Amino acid sequence: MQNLKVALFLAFKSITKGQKSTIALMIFLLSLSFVNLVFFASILNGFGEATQKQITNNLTSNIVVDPQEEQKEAFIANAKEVQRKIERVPSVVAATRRHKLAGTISYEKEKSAKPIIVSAQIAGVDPEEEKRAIDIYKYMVQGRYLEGLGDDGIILGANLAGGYGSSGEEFANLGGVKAGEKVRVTFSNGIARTYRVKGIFKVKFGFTDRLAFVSSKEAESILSAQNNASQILVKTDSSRGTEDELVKNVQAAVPDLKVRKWTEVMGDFANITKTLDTVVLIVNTIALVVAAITIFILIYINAINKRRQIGILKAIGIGQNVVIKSYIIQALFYALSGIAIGSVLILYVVAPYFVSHPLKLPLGDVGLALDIKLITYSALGLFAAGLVGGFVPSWRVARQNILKAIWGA
Amino acid sequence: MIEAENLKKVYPGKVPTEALKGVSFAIDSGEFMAIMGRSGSGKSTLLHQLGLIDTPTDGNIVIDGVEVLSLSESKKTLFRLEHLGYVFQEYALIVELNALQNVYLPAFALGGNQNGYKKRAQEVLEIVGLGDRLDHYPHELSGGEQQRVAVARALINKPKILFADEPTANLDSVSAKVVLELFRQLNKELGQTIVMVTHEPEDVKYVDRVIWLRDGLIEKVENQAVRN
Ligand SMILES: Nc1ncnc2c1ncn2[C@@H]1O[C@H](COP(=O)(O)OP(=O)(O)OP(=O)(O)O)[C@@H](O)[C@H]1O
Ligand SMILES: [Mg+2]
Repeated sequence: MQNLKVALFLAFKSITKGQKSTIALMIFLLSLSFVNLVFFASILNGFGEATQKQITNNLTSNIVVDPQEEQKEAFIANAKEVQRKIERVPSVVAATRRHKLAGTISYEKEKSAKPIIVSAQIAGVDPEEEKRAIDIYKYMVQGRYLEGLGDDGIILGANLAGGYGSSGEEFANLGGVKAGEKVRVTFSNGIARTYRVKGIFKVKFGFTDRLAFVSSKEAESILSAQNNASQILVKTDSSRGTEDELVKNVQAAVPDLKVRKWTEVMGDFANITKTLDTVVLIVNTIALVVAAITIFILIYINAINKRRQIGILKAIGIGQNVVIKSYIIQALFYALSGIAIGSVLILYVVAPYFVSHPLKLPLGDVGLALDIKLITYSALGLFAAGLVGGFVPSWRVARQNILKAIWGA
Repeated sequence: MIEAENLKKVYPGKVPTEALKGVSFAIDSGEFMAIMGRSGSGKSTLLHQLGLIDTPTDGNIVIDGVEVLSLSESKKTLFRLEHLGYVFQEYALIVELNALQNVYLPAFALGGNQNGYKKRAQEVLEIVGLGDRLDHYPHELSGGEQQRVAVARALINKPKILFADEPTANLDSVSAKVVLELFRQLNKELGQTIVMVTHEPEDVKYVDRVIWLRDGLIEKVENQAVRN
C-alpha cells in the first residue's frame, strides 16, 4: 500500500515536473493510436452496415421465401394466402410477392438508329404491397413509381437505363432512357410488349439498380398465371429476436417452402461483412501492437534517461517494485490521456466530419459506424498496451545493478 | 556496529580487477571513521560493499548483528531504507522533487504519518542549515546546498550508519568545511556513526580513526586520539 503511494507520488512528480514537450508528444501519439484504432474499425463497420442496409432495404429484404427446388413447378401456389400466413408471423413487418421474369429490353434512342438491346431481370410486383417491404419507391430519380395493379408502365433501375451518373454503368445499359419514353421488352417465353417508362430509380447499389419492375397483373398476363409467385420477400423487425429465430418462425408457418436469410441468398457477397470483421480484427491487432510499442519505446527512452535517478532511488532504499509501479502508472496515465483525447477527437471531430462528408461508395454513402462496444474494446486494448508498454522497459531498467545504473556500464 | 571480514571484490571483465583483496575491520557504534588511500586503492568499492549497494565476491559483513549479505535483494533494499544512509560524491538528488520532498522520500517510503515525516524532513533540513530552502528544486541549489540536502536525506530515517563517499570532492573549501562540520556535529551531538571516504589529508582532523587502503588491502589503521 505504502509502495503504491510512493509510486504514485513519484509518477505524479515525474509527469508534472517532466519535459512538457515530451509528455505532450507522448499523449498526442497515443491519442492518434486510439483514433486509428476506433476509426478503422468503425469505417469498416460502416461499410458493412451500408452493405447490409442496401441489401435488406432494397434488394432481398431480410428473409426470402422460394419454392422448394425439388418440386417441378417453380412457383409458389396460392401466393396470396401464403403471403398472409407469413405476415401473421410475429416480428414480420411485411411480405411482398414477386414474379420473376427474364427478358431483353430494347430502346430506340433515335428513330432511324439501331435499337440498343440489354438483357434484364424484370419483376412483377403489387406496388402497394411491395412498398411496405422494399424501399426502392423512395429512390425515384425521374418519373414515378408504379401505382396500383392496373399500372401498365415499367420502371427501370438507373444502371439499366444509363446516363444517371451511377458507378455501375460500365455494364451494358440502354444508353439513356428517360421517363415517358417507350421500351420494348421481349420475355423469355417469346411474348413481346411495349411499355412506357414510368420512372427511373437509383438506390446506388449495383445489384438493385439493374432491375426493372412491372405490375404483377401484367406479369401474370405474360405468364398466363394466377395467384402464384416466384418468390416472397419478407421484411422483419430485427430488433425483435435474431434473424435465425425469425427464419425458423417463418419456416414453421410455411413448411413446404424454402426459407432463407438474406445472407444465404446473397452468398459470397454477404460474406463481405464477415470478411470485414476479420480485417478489422487484424488491423486493430496491428494498431494495438503499434500502440504498445510506441508506449514501450517512449517509456523505455524515458527510463533510460532516468537510469541514474532510478539507481539513486534504489540506493536510498526505494524498492525496484516501487520504481516499476511508478513507470506503469506513468504509462497508464499517458494511455488514459490518449484514450480521453482520442475519444474527444473521434466523437467531436472525426465522426461529425463523416456525417457531413460521408464516403461516396458504389454501395451508397458510408459513414462511421461507432458503437460503444468498439470504443470500450479499443480503450481496454490501449490500456493493456499501456500496462505492457510501461512494465517491460521499467522492469528492465529497474532491475539493473545500482552502480551500473548510476554510473553507466 | 560493523564487522567486515575478509572482504574481497573482483570486478569481472577481460582482465578481472581485484579491487579488494581481503579486508577485515570493525567499526564501533558512535565512531566517525575515515577511509583513505590513493586513487584506485579500493575506497569506493569498500564503501559500496558496506552500504549494500554492491555485493562482495567473498567475505562477510555484519551490521548491528545482522548478516546482511545473506539477505534477499528486497530485504537488502529495506535494510538500506531503514538502517543505512548513503551520500554520494556527486549530487544525487531526484531532480523532479524539491529539497523537502527529496529529504522526506525515504521516510515516506518507510511509511508512517505524513505530517510526521514532513515535519521531520523540515527539522533535518534545518539541522543542515537549509531551513529556508525547502521548496527549492535541485537546479535551484548550489553544489554545497545540494550535498547538504543529500546528507539530510541520508539522515531522515535515523540510520544506524551514515556512509559518505568523498562528500566534499565537488565542493569549494568553504562548502566542504560546512559539510564536514555538520558531520562532526552529528557525530558528537547525536552519536551518529559515520563512515566517510576522503582523499583530503586535512579531513582526518574531524574523525576518530582512519583506515588506510592500498591496492585493495588495509595498509594501516590510525587512531586520531589527538583530536580534542
Ligand atoms: N565497475 C568496475 N569495473 C571494473 N573495475 C572497477 C570498477 N569499479 C572500480 N574498478 C577498479 O577497482 C579499483 C578500485 O576502484 P575504486 O573506485 O574503489 O577506487 P577509489 O579508491 O575509490 O579511487 P578514487 O579515489 O579515484 O575514487 C580501481 O582499479 C578501479 O579501476
Ligand atoms: Mg572513489
